[in-house]
Amino acid sequence: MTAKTVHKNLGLSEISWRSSLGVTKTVLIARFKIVLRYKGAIVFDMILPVILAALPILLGVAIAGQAAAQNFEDATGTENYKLYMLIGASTFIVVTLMLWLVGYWIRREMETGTLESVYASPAKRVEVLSGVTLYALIRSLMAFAFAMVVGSFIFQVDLFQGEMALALAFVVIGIIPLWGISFAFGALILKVKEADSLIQVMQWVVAFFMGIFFPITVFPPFLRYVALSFPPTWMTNGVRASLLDVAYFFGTWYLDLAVLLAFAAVLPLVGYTVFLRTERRIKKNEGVGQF
Amino acid sequence: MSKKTIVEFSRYPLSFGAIFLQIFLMVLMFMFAVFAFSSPTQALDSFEDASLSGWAEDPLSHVGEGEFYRVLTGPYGDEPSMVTFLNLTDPAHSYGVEKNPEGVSDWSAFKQIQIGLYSSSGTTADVSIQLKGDSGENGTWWESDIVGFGGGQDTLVFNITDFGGENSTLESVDSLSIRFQNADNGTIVYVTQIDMVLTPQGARLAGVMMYGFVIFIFLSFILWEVGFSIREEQFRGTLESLYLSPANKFSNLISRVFAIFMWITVIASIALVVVSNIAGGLPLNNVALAFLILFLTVSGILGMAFFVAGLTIRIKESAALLVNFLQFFFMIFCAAFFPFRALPSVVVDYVSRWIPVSYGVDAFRSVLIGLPEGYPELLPFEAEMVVVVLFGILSPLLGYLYYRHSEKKARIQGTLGEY
Repeated sequence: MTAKTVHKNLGLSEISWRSSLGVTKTVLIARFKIVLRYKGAIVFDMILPVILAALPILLGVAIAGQAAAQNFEDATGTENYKLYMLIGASTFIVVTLMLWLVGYWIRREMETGTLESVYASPAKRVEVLSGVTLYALIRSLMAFAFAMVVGSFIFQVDLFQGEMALALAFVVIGIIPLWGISFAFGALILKVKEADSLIQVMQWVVAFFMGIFFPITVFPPFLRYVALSFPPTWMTNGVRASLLDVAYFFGTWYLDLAVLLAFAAVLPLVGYTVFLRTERRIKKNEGVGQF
Repeated sequence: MSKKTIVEFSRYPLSFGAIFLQIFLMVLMFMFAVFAFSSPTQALDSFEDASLSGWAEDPLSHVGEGEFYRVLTGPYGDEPSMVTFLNLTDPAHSYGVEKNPEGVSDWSAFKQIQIGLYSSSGTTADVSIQLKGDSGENGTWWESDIVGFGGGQDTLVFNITDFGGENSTLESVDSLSIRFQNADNGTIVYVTQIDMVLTPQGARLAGVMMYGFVIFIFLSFILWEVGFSIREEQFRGTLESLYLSPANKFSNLISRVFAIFMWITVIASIALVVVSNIAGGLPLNNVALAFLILFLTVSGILGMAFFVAGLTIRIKESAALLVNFLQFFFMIFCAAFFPFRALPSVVVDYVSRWIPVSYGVDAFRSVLIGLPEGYPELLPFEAEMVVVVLFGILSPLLGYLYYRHSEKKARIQGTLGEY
């Protein structure tokens, strides 16, 4: 009782779930306050998938003319190539923003010299990182939803065909492993530091392996296995298969969803562990402030 | 200053690799997208429809529907054995040219023929193919180079190099023959596969895509490098120090692109070679003129980059957004990866035609693909050249003037060092 009184008199607050949530909420609000100063960035995130989807659509029409739909159906199983590309590009923005925003946050804090201050505060790392990843999640989902709606108007495609609820389930569950991947990516940025190059390359690596413009069946076997070990590939294909006549990897939606759930159960823990280990090693050596 | 950027650049080897990988992945991604839209190989697999004739007709038998043919090799009198597939242009057949995306019997669309052979007895043979047509003089035909078959299972690739070109009089094809020479007499070879590798309108579209891509990567990286390096100087607080030095401002700006310019040239060349190999050769004509157009277009792009640098001084953090936006804007509206005809005409008329870079892209690729009918797409070639020359000369001047204006304004307001 005495200890508690002394504790309170010193102005220290106890660490409770509420204070933990407070940290996450504060980080989240801070991120949004900063980005809202650059409204164009948010708009750009939302338009980018539409632009990305437009490129292969225009390319395909230029190549195949009126046979575009037929040829595309022969290759992928659906003739609705516009929605196929739109789904690919929209899920890509979710993945890339999750990586970009987390990676760039760490890099910026390093460059501006505030990462050490964050470490010096009593807030737990997981709370701060949750705030940042939650911010990335909200921003990426906003971009996803906006791009799908605007893209459906521009490309004149019907979003509400197939199993919309199932498609949303693939998106929601597919985001959980992304959380883990973004932690691991953050660890990589801490270690390598050259965030710009890494992020730029990772964007295209991700886009390539998750098959934003084509089915991964066109890959040779080795690349196909690499693509299948990457959760966003399952998310993209799941959404496509739910809305279009594209096959699930395992033939049925529940098996594909089960794989995604397995990723969701494992990857966040793995990612966070990797982050903590990397961070500990860096703190022991050069310190997190070095950039 | 150039030295500094090169040294700075080489201090981050990861950046070298990153740029290379990024461009390589972009190319691969678009190529896979292209594959998804085209029927890259069209198999002559409906064997039940194939009509057969020739010296090898008797010993040839149909082994199961859609499977393979058996050919008894060896000379028949003075002639080598040969198997012929007839009526290729007959619309009743499921193979042939009726699936050509353009809907015309354009055999020049086929760039390659792949013949799968199998021999259990280890028979070797020199194999060639003949395409025969009924147009022009009687008996017009095209014959491939001889390709060696080493026994076992193999796919022989016959590149149709001059077919449909100046040296060929063949306009349509009725039959395809496979000739076996220098084979052991009386041994059996199975024809397991005949694929026509289709590249719509030949390598032209691959050229349009890749040459447009070359201009695009120059544009993208120059805009980033010039615009963003100014931002970085602002961010690190070294921009003001630079202004205190007696260095020429123009040299200061232009020197920033040297390292990236050299690296992009290397990467673009590698990308072109790789794609050329995959696509079975890209058209390459008027190289000197193309280099001139590239030089003028890059000069014009430099002017745009100066403009972006001027804007960066004013808009600061939003510069990244601006450059990002510009990249995609030019990618779409300058039709970097596709012909202009793929864009809605209203977009071409009201947007693309008003962007000078469009003329650079159009002229550059049209020249390289040999100015075929329909290219350039925006204006007659001479008129496009006028635009390209004016763009190459005026854009750096105007861009630099704008940069100096922004810089002067920032110095008066005392915001140069602000970030």
